[in-house]
Amino acid sequence: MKKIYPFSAIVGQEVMKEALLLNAISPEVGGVLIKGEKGTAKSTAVRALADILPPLSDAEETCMKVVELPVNATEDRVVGTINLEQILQKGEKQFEPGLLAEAHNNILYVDEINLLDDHVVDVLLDAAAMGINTVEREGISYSHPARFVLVGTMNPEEGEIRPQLLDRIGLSVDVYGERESHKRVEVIKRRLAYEANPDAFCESYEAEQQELRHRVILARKRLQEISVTDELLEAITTISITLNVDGHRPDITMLHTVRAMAAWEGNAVVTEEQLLRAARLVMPHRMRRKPFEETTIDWQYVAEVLQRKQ
Amino acid sequence: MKRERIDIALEMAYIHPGIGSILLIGPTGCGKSHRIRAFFQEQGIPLVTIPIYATQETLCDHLDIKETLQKGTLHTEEGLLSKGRGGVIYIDDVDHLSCEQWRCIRQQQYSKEKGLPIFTLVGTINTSENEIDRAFINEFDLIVVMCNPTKEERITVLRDLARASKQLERQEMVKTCVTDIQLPQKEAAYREKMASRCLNIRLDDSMRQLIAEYCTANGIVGNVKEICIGRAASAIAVLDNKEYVLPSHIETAIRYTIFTAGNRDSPSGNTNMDNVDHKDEGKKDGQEKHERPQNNIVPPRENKTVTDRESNVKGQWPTIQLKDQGTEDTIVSGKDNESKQDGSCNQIKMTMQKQSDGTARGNNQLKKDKEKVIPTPENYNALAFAVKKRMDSFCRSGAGRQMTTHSKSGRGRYIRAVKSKGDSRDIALEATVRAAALRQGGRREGPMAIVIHKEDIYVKLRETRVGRHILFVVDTSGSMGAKERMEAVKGTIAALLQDAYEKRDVVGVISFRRMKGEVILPFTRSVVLARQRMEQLSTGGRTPLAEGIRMASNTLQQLMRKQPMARPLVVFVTDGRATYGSTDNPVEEAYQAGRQLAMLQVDGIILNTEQGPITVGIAKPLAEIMGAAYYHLDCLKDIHIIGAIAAAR
Repeated sequence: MKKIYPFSAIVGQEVMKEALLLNAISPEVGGVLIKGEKGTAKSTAVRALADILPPLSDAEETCMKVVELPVNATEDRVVGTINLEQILQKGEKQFEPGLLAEAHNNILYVDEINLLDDHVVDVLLDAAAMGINTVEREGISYSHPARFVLVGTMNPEEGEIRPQLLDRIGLSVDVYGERESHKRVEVIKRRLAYEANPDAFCESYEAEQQELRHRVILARKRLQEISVTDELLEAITTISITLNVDGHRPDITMLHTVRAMAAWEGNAVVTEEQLLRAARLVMPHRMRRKPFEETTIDWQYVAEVLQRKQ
Repeated sequence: MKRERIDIALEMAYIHPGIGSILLIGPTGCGKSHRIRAFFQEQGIPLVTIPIYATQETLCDHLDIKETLQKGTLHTEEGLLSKGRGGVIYIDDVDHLSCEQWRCIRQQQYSKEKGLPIFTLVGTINTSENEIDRAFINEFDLIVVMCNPTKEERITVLRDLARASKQLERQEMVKTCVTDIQLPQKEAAYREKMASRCLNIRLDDSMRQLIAEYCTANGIVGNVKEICIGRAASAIAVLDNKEYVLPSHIETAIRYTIFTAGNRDSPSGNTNMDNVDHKDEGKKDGQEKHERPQNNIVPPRENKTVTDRESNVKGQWPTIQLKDQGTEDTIVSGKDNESKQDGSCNQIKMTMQKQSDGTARGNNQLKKDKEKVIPTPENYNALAFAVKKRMDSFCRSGAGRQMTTHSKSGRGRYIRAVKSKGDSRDIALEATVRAAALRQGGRREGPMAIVIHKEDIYVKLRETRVGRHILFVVDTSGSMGAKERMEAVKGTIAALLQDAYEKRDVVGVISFRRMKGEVILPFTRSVVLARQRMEQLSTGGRTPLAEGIRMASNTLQQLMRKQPMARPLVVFVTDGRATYGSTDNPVEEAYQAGRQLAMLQVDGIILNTEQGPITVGIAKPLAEIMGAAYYHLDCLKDIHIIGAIAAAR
């Protein structure tokens, strides 16, 4: 099987890579929505992520993996269905797990998430909300845990996503093709090298990959040590209210994101700069959008409001 | 967490056996599901959760295959609805249920003997995305609106979360929150006692009169809501420790049972639900006419009966329409960012077209406010409304909102199993086995536990939503009002795309000017793309009407070739003055093109934007030729007529 293109070999796209890494460190961040044109390394990055994901916990060997949900997936395949053999051979109803079961404690990757069928989205929403997949079909009544990190990619020119689903995804990132020519050259060079000899290419990046993995594990350990002060909570809720976003999830996501950021960058306390950077990841897709109007968040104003509160 | 309206509503349902359903509405992430689960867990009442993609078989009792096969006699298994007997059935996003599922649930809910519900139905509706279906909402006995959390609430939740250790499961979190809700632990005996008090409380004739008057004055059709109000008032009176129902109890009950704007906990005890904030009543009133009569709320007027709603409904009474046919309204929580009152949202103010600044610093809004973006001539609203009305009527006359097709590809939501008519694709396995289980006698034994024959086969009936393709054909020539037309079209597109992802509607735009037509926006569901393409449009030049129509024809033909199931709707926005053509007679050309288009048999609307005392435009005759609905811009402003048309359909 062909080796996956290494995460550390991806040129540029720092914001997208950061968003993915934050999720690797703290799955509670709640996933990423990557929006952009074709050919901007979206799928490459998500699949590459699988290779640097840490083990589920200290005791375990198995690492998180990336489970792909194809855009034409049927309800049955996603939710799970009745086991054919069991019922025909023994007359017994047994649950045949679907993709959601497989995705538990892993990353669920949905390419072209905006083209997903409505009812499949309903299923995802349900599981993403409670972390439990409740199956009530074909005479099967069964629930199983389905806590996963949802990562989706999409091209915004092809359609919208339901706000309810948007709310359940932690971060969102807009990706663009590289503009600088020397970076574009680098992209082509590396891709050609990889395709010519995948093993050798991956080998050459192995050291960087290892370091990346190590950093992620360290950051994970540091998560609990980040202090959560009243000032931090005050700042987070100020941002939410200033930007007029719905519900508690933006706040909760902000908390997890800034903690992961601080852990990744080695701080003991969350800085204001990190707060604003996190907001740029957490908030944009939660803004109530008016059509025919660009949602440009006035980050300057947000920064000012934060200053005033201090 | 303080005791809020939802807690009171849940308690009312808890003690009164006649209250069967509660609906919790609110924006996403405000804690609806959370509160409900917490309440019932704390009471120790079993909660049966029904996911909205549950199939019909699982809802109702069905055959127990194993038992039947083993024992050879009919054994049934409990369905979800039976499991919920005596307890609570909880459905998230209850408005996403298909009609069939909903009817099934409601039918099963009421016991034939006593007319009391056998389980309590608790549902949530998310206001962040859908248009709100008021008729559906009012099917529930109690309705509670939740708002976005205040700053304090946000901080509290965050603090609890931060305290939680990594291993803390969600259930644990719920438990810690539950202890903050000050509800004493109740036992079954207590519940019995309260139930009997509720059923036996004194509800005087004068009170019943009050209820009846309110309902009549507000045009609430049918007596179900009256009974609801009576029951709710009884429960409130019992909670208030009184022996009889007082008018104040009724007023409170109304706030919990009727979903309207202006549900305000005003200190004054009058049932006269005045809401004096609505200065712009006049404008919006007219637009409500298309509504089904039973859900209008109108002021009592002398000399006018309740059916006289076509005339101007002005005054202080709030008029809402939520199932908006293209017009917008917003439900605004009474709080603004600065005030930090108690968390319960007691006010639903309906805001009109103009309001506070639309920046992120404005008020909380439960629904998007599109009008602020575009300078709003009323007619754009009206056009959107006309389009949606047309689509709706088409839907209703056809296969209904959601087309139920036996989908060959296995796509679509699985509703229930139906007997196969010969094909064996997309088999409903369990249903097939069930059918076979009952016919095992006389069949040859084999290695399998069950022998299946062809006549046993059941296939899955799936439901897909088929959206409409809406093609706008816009006259961008120099004749008067080109810009205004474009604004109207842009606004309509905005309105349509807003819930396009839900309804799967697709919008495209063709413009024509000078000598030809041009595809401005290829069919898309993307607001992003629409915005980009509609940004700058050149106007001016003569009107090649025939060319515009021809281009529309071509586009539609292409569409129908690619997607035979498409149901396109074409909307012409023009002043009908054909001034350019490839022959000497552009008008005749236009007629000819119109006849060609008519042969495609697509649904259409023609909006005539011609102004001025002299009318030479051919919009109306064209509409006749094409069999399209005809509107004039000026008339659209007078929405009463639209309502009359709608009512007549």
